[in-house]
Amino acid sequence: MNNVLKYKGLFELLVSFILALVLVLTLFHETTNFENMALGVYTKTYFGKVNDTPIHSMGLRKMKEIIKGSNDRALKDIVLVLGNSQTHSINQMKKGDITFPELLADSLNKKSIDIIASSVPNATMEDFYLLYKSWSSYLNIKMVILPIFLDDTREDGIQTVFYNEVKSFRISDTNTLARKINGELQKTESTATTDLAALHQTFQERTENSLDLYLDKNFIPWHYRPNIRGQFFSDLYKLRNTVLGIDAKTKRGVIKDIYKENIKALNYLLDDCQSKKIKVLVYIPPLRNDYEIPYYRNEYITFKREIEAISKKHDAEFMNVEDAVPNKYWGFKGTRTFRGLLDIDFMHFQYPGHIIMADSLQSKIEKMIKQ
Amino acid sequence: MIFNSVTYIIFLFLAVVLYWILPLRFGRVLLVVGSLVFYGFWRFEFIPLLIIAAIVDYWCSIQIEKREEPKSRLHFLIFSLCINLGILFYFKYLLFFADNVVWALNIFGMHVQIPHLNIILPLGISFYTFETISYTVDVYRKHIKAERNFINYATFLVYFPHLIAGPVLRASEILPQLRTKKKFENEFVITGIKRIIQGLFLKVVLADNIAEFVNEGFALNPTALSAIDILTLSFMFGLQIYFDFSAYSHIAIGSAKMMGINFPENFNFPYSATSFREFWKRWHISLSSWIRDYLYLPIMKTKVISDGGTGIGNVLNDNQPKRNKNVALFLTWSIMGLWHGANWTFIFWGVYHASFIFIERLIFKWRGKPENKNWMRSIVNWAVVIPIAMLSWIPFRASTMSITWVMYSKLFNPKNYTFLGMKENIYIVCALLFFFMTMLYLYKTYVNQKIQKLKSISFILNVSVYTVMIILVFTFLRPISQFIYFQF
Repeated sequence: MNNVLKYKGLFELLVSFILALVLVLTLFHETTNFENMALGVYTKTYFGKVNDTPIHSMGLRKMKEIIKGSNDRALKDIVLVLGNSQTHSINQMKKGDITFPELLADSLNKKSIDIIASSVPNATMEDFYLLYKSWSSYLNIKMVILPIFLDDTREDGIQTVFYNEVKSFRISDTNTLARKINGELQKTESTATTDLAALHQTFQERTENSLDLYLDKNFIPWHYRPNIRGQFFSDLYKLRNTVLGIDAKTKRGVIKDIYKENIKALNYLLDDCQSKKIKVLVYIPPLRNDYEIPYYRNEYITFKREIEAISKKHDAEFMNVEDAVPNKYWGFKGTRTFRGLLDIDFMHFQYPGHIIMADSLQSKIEKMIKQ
Repeated sequence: MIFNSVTYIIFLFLAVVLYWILPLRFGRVLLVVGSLVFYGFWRFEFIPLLIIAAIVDYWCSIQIEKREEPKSRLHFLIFSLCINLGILFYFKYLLFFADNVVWALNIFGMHVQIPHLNIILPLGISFYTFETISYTVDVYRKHIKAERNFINYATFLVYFPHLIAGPVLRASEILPQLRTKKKFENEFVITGIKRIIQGLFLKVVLADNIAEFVNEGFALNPTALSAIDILTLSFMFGLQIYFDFSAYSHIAIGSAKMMGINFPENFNFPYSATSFREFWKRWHISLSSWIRDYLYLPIMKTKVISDGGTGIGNVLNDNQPKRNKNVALFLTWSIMGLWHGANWTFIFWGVYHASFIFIERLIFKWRGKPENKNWMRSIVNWAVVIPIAMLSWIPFRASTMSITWVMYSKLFNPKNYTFLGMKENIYIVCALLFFFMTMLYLYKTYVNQKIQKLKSISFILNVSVYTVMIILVFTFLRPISQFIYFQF
């Protein structure tokens, strides 16, 4: 009995370690793309191409190819389309469906107008500012298309993961926003990976990085770790939604300070365009209205008015296309709760929606470029 | 070297195996060399500082012990204090001091400019300085004998588990354990591993993930926050710093335990305290008791005697003038604040705590100390003490005093209780964490012992808990952030 007790702790630990290993290997062996997980199973991403050369990227990925393509085409005017997942996703996507930036490129390239697009999920105005500054430092941008989503003004900062390819890029401006973004980029550039942030410029950074790479190659469960982390947070998110009854229809309020920071960044972007005589088309993006919208009405109205006023102040063109895509061209997404299967998708429309968006933007772009 | 890393796990494994294999004499040399390597993984150029601290106090303590004449003993004590505090002052307080002198001179119309100094704070300097001071003072007070074996003394000072962020050890607790080697027992390793798993869980799963919410909250413009936001942020940072720091202590205690060396506990559910005095008996216990024995009691001119055991007791003189007691309280706490960092925010934090301990004293004096524990009274006291204790973390985390004032001012305007200024998740996470932490305390206090008696249930329960913790630690083990107390 004493021997049993003596080894009870050891036995407990051994069983725990073995169980943990078995669970990791059996439950978490699939690799999920968490970047697109919020889209749900019914929505797919699509990034446009012209003659097999990419014209649309997630953040700054494929930047070099896009710049090379644009230089090769050597069209007179370059239009930069910014956006969030609405710009690069198609609900109930079928074979041959494409997003509106490629539709725009197809029709406008013939008129010597080049289209390049850059979008990130839940793009903040700071993301837009960085995207705009990056592209305009490599290409002679004539016009910028800028959708402003109320939903995304609840997010703040930049999502460095989308800018890894140009880590060494720095915004040349001296304003506070540029300094803040440059600081973030600097941090990303100087650390081997964000996972080792605490070891920055220490000897341990080297050993830890080597060990991490070794384990990633030689110990399969180690390779699954990012996947397990993603799964863990995704399940927590679902649990929260299930317990608190949160779904796509749930009203999300404006977060005052984060909203202000986004507006500040928008002002910086428009200031810069104005000073460089770059034309800007600001638009309130489509939103389905067959369900009560997930915003507080008064906040949504104030938001639209404010964006319009800011656009006018900076001589930018303002367009409200919130009703442009008919309700039949929207769809559903997989639920992000542990209940039910489907939820309403307020963000991503079907292919006909992209055609409508391309039509709405095309005439406006042509008109503005001619002016 | 940072604990929450694969490098440390490998380093610890090698250190433990070699320690048990090698004879005691070589084992101790291994610990000293290993500890210096551990330290050098961060910055090797600061290793000489550690060696200087070890040599100075080793030599001074022997000189103190050799001499009987009080004056001569005092000279060596002062010499040791000057060296230790001088180094600490240079690395930690010189810039703060210079900035404040310049500011004061500017007020009087004297415009002075100081050259730009790029001083890097050596990791763990506040901790090992306090440890070495306590050793020399204890020898001076004749509470312990000076260690004649330099390797023994160096092992006590640089021993890697406590080197960077404590617990603040006393020589009387550790030196006897280093002089002899215990017979190997499985239990040492098992208990040690369990403590390390608990510590890593607190750090990489809880503290590091809470940090994202806290950083996001404190990055917001404080003028746009509501009173509820301020309370939430103070609770969230309170939880983060507790999980983070107690995690370090768990890993330190567990690492030492694997070599059969017992470290004192540093935390005991501080957020279950029903008074401020109790809070400080549960939070960073090793520092609180150090401050009491080497600052508070000497300032009060109270005779300090060794209790013959591991700690130091004291003789409180009832005829002590009250003014001394209160002056000692505020002075000690200001120094306690300053120990944490060279910034007025930390001094304010110290004075904040001193003020509430002072108020508590007045209340006890007025109403008398409650003789019996009454659960209703305990709950009410807890509900008052914890939010006040949590709010003390605002200056600790805010970068300046002006931000601290803005945040505190929010609490006094009823209008600020009518809206929320942060993302919803932070309120949910904060409420859940606090709830589960309180439940864990109640479980540990009232249920755990009974459960552990039921062999099979306790086995299933322990295996389940450790399996979940191992999976989560395995998943989240990344050195994405240092321990908060590294900066002190």
